[in-house]
Amino acid sequence: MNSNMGAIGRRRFCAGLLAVPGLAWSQPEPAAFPIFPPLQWQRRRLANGLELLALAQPGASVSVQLWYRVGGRDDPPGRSGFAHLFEHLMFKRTRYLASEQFDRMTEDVGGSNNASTAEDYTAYQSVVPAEHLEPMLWAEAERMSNLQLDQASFESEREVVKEEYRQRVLAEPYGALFDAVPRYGFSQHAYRRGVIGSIADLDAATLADVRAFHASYYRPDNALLIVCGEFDAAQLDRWVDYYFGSIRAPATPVPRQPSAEPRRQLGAVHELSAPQAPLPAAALIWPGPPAASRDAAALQVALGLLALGNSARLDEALVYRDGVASSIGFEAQLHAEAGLLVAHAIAAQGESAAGLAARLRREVHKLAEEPISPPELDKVKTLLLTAALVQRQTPLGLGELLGRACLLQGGPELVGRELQALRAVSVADVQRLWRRDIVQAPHVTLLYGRDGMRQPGRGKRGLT
Amino acid sequence: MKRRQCLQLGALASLPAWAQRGFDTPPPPGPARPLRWPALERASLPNGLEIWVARKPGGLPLVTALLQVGAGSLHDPAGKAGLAELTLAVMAKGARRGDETMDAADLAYAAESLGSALDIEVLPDCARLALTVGTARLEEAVNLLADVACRPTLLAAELERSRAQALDALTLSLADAPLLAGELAQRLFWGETPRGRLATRASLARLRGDDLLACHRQLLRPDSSRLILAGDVELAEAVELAEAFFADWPAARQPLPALPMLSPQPLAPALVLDLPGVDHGAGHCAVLLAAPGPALGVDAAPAQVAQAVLGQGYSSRLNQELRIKRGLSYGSSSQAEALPGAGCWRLGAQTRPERAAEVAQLMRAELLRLAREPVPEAELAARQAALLGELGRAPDTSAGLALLVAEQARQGRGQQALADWSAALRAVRPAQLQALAGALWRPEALRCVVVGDLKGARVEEELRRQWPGAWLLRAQELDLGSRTLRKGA
Repeated sequence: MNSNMGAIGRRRFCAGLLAVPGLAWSQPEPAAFPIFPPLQWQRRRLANGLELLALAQPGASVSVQLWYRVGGRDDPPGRSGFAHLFEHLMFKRTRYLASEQFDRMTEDVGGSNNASTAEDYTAYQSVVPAEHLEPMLWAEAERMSNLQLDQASFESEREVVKEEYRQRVLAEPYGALFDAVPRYGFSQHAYRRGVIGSIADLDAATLADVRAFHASYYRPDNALLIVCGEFDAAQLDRWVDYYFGSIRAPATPVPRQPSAEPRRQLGAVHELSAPQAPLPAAALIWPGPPAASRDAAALQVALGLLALGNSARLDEALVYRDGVASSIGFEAQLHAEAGLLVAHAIAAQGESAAGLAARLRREVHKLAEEPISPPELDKVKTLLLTAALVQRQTPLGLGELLGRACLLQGGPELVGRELQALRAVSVADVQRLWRRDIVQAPHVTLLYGRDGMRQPGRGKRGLT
Repeated sequence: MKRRQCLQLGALASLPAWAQRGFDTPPPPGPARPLRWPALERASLPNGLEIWVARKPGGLPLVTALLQVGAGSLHDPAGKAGLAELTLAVMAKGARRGDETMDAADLAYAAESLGSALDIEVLPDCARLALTVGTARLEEAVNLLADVACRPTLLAAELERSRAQALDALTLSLADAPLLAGELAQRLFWGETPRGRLATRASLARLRGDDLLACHRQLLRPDSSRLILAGDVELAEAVELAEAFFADWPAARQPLPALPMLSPQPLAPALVLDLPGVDHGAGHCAVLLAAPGPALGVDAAPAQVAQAVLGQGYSSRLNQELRIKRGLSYGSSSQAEALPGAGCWRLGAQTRPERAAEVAQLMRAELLRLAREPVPEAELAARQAALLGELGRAPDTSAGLALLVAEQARQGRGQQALADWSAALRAVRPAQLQALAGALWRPEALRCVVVGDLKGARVEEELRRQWPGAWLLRAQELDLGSRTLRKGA
C-alpha cells in the first residue's frame, strides 16, 4: 500500500500543457467509478388504474410511498399553494382514521412519515418496520378513498401552512429570493406560481375546495404506489389487491389544465428590495429543458463542474480565489413540462449585487470555452455516481428515485438509463450544450439586497 | 367516499383467512422482529490511535471514513473563541505528503475525486473529518484524512481567507433569527464559561497563525483520535490502512489537555432581541428555551427518552401543543447537549410576535409537566419505539453508521455499545423521567430567548410574568462578546 501522489493534487489540464503533445504530467489512474448492482423492480397496474412498483431490499424496514400526479401546477385559479395545503390535510381525519393517526401508525411503532409537494406531484412517504406493511397499505388506501375533513382542523392546519410560508419565505434571509425564481424565470407556465403560494390565496381556500380537489386528483388512476425494502412479493400483491383493488376510479378523466412556456426571447434584470438581507445576492435564470430531456445527464455534469463541491469552478473562482462571494450554487429545476437553470451567489462583504451578478455570469459562460480535462470530468462523474449510490442505501431513497423517474421522466427504467448516460457524457457534449443553452440564450437576472435598489420587484402577488 | 361497499358487504365469506375483515379498522402488524446491530470491532496502533470498524454485510460498495479528533471548541482559550473551528477549516486548506504539498484547491479536488467533499464538523469536545467513497477509493480516502490531520500546512494566507469567510458567516447569522436565537441562548445559559463564549468579530480578529499551530500541536494527536470505518470494509483492511497512513503520526509528549468541567453561569433570566425588518416586515420570531441537562455520561438513556417525549418527531409534546392543537408554528425543535460537568437542552419554535410569549409559556409548561406527572405508559412506549426505530435505521447508510459509532466512541462506550444502548433506552421507566425532570427543571433554572421582528409587540412585558428581569435589546445594541450583551457596557 503506497501513496500515489500522481492521483492527487492534479486538477485540470491547463491550456498551455495541452498544446504540447506528450508533456502532460503522469496520467492519473482512470477513475474507479462505483459499481451499481442492477435494480430489480416489479411493476403492474390494477384494474382501477393504480400502478404498483415494488422493489425488494432485504433489511428490517419497508417504505410505502404514494405518489399522486398532482402538484403546484394544478392549483385551482386564485388558490396558489393549494396542492401543498392539501398535502398537509391528508394527515387529518378520514372515515376510519383519526386525525394524526398516521403518526400513531408510523412514528409510534418505530417508523417515520413525511410528505412533499412539488410542481408536478405530491408524494407521501412512510417507512415502517417490515411487519407493519399491511397496516400501512390499509391506511394509504383509506386516505385515498375516505378523507373527511372538518372545518376546525382545516383552519388550524391552514395556520400551520401560513407559518411554514413565513418561516421559509419571509424569515429566511434569502427565502424571498428563491421564492421569486419561478415567478421571474417562467413567463407563462403555471409553474411560475411556485408551490408554496401566497398567504392571500391560502386564506381564500375553503373546505369545499378541499373536497373537490380530493375527488378530482386523489384517485387510483392518478397514483403510483411504491413499495421498497423488506417484503414478501406474493403477500404484497394480495394485500395491494385487497386494500386498493376495491377503490373505484371515477368515470370522468383527471382534470388537467394545459400549460406551456414559450421560448424566451429577451433577457431581463429585476431588482428585488431586501432590506433584511445581511449581504447582497444575485440569481441568474436560464430556461431549462423538461426533466425527461436527453440533455439532462450532460446538464448534471455541467452543473457539477461549476458548483458541486469545494473544488467546483464557481466555488474556486468566486469564493476561494477572488473572495467576491460567500457562497454559490447552481441548480437545475427540471419539471415535467419545462425547467429552469438557476445560478446564484451570496456576496462577500463589500460586494454589490450587480457586480456579483456580472462575475457570476462571466464564470458560468467560461465553461463553454475553457478546457475541461478528463480527470476533472471523472471527478464530477464520481461525485454524482457516489451520491446516486448513497441514495440507494435506504428503502426511502430507492422509492424517491423510482417515484421521480416515473413521474418526471417516464418510467423506472429511466433510473438505469440515466446512470449510463452520465457515464457517457463527454466534454464536447457539455460544451455544445453550454454554448447553445447558456451562452446564446437570454437569461433573467435577479439582484437582491438592501442598498441602491428600486422598490419592490416582488411582483403583484402581495405577500402580507 | 368512492369505496368498496361491494367487497365489504358481499365478498367477505369467500376471502382467505387473512382477509376476513372489513376496512374499518387497521389490520394488526405481523410479529415484531428483533433489532440487529452491525458488529463493532476495534484495534489500536502503538501511537494510541484507536480503530473502530462497523461492517455492513450485504450492503452497497460504499465506505464512510471518519476521523474523530480531540479538537473541540471547549479547548478555545479565553478571548480566542472560534480557534478550533478556524484551525480545522485551515487544516483542510493545505497539507503535505512526502515532499509534495497540496494547496487548498488541490486538497478539495483530491477529496472530491474520490467521491465526496471532505466534511468537517467541530463539536464542543471533539471534531470530525469524514468522506464517503466507493469501496475502491477507501485507501486514498484514509490517506487524505491522514494528510489533513497529521501534516497540515496551516499557511497564513489560508488563515486570512478562512477568517474572512468566518466573518461573512457571522454577518449572515446575525440576520437569521432562529440561528441567532440559538447562539444567544447558548451565551445566556453558559455565560462566561468556555461554552458560553461565542466567536465574535473581535475574537476572530485576535487569532494568529501561532494559535492555530498550538491548537493543532496540542489537540490533534493519535491518543485522542479514532479512525472509524463503516460500511463495506473489514477490520483487517482497516488496520492495514491505519498502519500505512497513521503509524508515523508521532505520539504526543505532553499530557492531553483536560476538558473544562462546566457549570452554567446564566447572564439573565430571559432576553428579547428586536430585529426590525428582518423578515420582510412580516413579523416573525424565533422562541427558544434553554434548560439544564445532564452532564456527559450521566443519565444518558432517560435523558434521550425525555427528549423524545418532549421535542423529537411530529408526535412530541411540543409539536402537539404548538402545531397540532394550536397552529402556532410550523414545527418545534429540540436539541440536547451533554458536556463534561453539565448539559444544556434547547427547545425552539418560530411564530408570530404576538404569540411569542404564549409559545414560550407552553414550552415551559411542558418541561415542568414532565416533573409533575409521570409519562403515561402508552406514550412512553410509543416514544421509545420511535427512538429505537430511528436508531435502528441509522446503520442503513454508511455515513449514518459511522456517526453512530463515532457517538458511541465519544460517549466512552465499548464494543457492545449499540446493543447496550438500545437496551438501555428500552428499559427507561416513567419514574426515571419524572426524577430526571424534577432534579433538573426548577422554574428559575429555565432561560428564554425571543429574537425577531417584534412589530411593536411587548414580548418582554409578557415574558416578565414568568421571567422577571427579562432583558430587551434592539439590534443595534447587540454585542455577543459583552456580559450584558450590550455594546459599550
